Amino acid sequence: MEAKSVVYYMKDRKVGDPMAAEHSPLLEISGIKKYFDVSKGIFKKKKQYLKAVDRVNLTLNKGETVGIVGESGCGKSTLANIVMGALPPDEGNIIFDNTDIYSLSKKELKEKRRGFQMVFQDPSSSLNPRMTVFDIIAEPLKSFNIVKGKQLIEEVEKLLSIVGLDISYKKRYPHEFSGGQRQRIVIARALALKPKLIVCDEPVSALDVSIQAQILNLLRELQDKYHLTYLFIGHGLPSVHYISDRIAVMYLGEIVETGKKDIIFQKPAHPYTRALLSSVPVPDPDYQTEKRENTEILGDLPNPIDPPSGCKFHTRCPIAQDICKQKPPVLSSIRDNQQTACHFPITESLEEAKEYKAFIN
Amino acid sequence: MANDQTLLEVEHLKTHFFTEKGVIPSINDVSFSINKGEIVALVGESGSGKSVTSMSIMGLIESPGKIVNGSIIFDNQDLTSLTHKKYQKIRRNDMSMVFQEPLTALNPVFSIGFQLIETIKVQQKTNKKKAKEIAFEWLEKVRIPNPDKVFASYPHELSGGMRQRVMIAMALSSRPRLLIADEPTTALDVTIQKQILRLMKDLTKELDTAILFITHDLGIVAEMVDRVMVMYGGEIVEKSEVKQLFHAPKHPYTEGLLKSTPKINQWGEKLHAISGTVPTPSNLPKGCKFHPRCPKAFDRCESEHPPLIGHKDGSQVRCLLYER
Repeated sequence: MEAKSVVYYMKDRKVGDPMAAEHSPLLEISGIKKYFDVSKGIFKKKKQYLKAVDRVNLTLNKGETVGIVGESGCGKSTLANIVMGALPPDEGNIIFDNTDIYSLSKKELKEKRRGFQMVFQDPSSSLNPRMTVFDIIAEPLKSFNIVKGKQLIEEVEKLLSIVGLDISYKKRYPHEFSGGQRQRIVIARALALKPKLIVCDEPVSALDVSIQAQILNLLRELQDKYHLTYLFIGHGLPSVHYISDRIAVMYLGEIVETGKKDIIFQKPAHPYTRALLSSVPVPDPDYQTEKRENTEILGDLPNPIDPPSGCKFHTRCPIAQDICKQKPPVLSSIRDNQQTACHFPITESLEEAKEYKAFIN
Repeated sequence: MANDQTLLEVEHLKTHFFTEKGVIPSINDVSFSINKGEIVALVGESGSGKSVTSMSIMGLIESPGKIVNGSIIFDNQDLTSLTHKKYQKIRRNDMSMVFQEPLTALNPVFSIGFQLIETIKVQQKTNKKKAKEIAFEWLEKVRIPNPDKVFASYPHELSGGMRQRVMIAMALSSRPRLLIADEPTTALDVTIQKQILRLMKDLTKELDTAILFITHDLGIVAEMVDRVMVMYGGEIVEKSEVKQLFHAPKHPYTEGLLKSTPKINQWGEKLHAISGTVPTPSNLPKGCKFHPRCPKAFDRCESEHPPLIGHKDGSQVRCLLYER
């Protein structure tokens, strides 16, 4: 078997995000870098940096959902904080609605932030236990002086019913609710300012299985109704798969693969994406034995302070070659709607990829 | 019923918590058995009673909790009537547990090596030198790449996956006959989860250890286990072979749970969601515990508490729809 026919390798692959030109972008994450100084010692002779986010480019178009997946420590939550304007990046721009949010003054940023809101993982820690549901949802409306008096009450009641909560709940406190209901309150608060973008950082991870589906459905419904754009961060691949249009896979601060959901899940080209997908337990006992590629990924996540040279994944990669240790691969298009940062992307079928693997071993 | 293959037989187990606010019936009338070397899953959401069931078996229910009724027959003796000392002996030799969060289960001020040696010394009544040998043997068995380094490290210096490997080494070094694994991979990343699951499966097969696997992840159930018990509101609502459960779920709750789980091998329309919220043990509905959320509920479900009904395919289901 000829290896070259299996692995598709072209020098002049198209670089950049091909989706950006076709649609109208709402959020552009361009060249974001965030390094944390983790040097030890008083004199800090040797500088050490944790590269939490490294050269990340991502574009979100109006009305779509982009899912970011990756293991803990891959930088997905840091990226969310940077997008929210809460953590200035070392390099790069966050362009929301044609404005670079880090070029704005504090006051301007506050005004701009009406357009983008966040939903967190743990709804009990993102709700003030001493405030009633009414106060929680009314707070953003009051702070931007949007409505007052009777109208404020009406608006809060409207938001409650939008997220599927009874309007009589408005006088209660967060602890009186279950996790799923609390997450609905958080969503209602996020919706209060009629945002265009909602950043969801693992919004269903802390919830029970039967409740996860409710919240995911609610997020989808709201998207259709209000033409929302979501940046959806999660490590639970099935839920990210369910809600997203496009997916970006992160590994140690970098996007290693991105593209349309169907392509990423059906034809993953990066060995890490493949490993990630084959690690997800599938709730179907027959699927295991018959159709599943069974690649177990080796080893642990490397120390992010001292990441491997070249391609950061090479220490765990089943098909790594010498070049992978030396030269970091560039994210580039390998087929329509799919970009991969890998020297040897797997673009053929599973069977051929296996033969290729056997060939190089 | 019990035969010579039965390792654990739980019958009519009731554990209640006697709090100031009243009695909380965490589990009610739970009965099941586990055969030697078998992997059985206990599936349920928060508050369904799955962890209380496992703690009851381990004899770790503390005041205000109490086992008020039922028996736990392990190896022909009833654990509920054992003295503290005898129970400890069983926990030392025959039964182990792996918890969800290994960081809280390991002592932060002692090195991994020290904790392993202590455990092995007590379990197997050997001297320090022999215990160290066994410890290294187990670190290799749980596929830790550099045992020397891990042996000298402290828990916080290890990754979550490594810590869970150490926990598994500790739990299995006494070659127990039953391992209770309470969501052992929930805190881990998927690629590490896969490694740990495979490790548990391989090692317990080698030792012929049975596992009671507590989880809420139906994917893990499909990959790991032979039989499944679904818990809801403090009782078992369905018992089934794993394939039957996925191909022909019987209880409306099981059915809803399966439908509401997003799957990466299926291209989904809208997810089916179970309406309502998970009831807390202090506030369980009358009749069938699931009836307020059940799409198939009828008038009798509100008042009548359904028994476990045997189905012709061998599974059992607690639902009046299957009455005949």
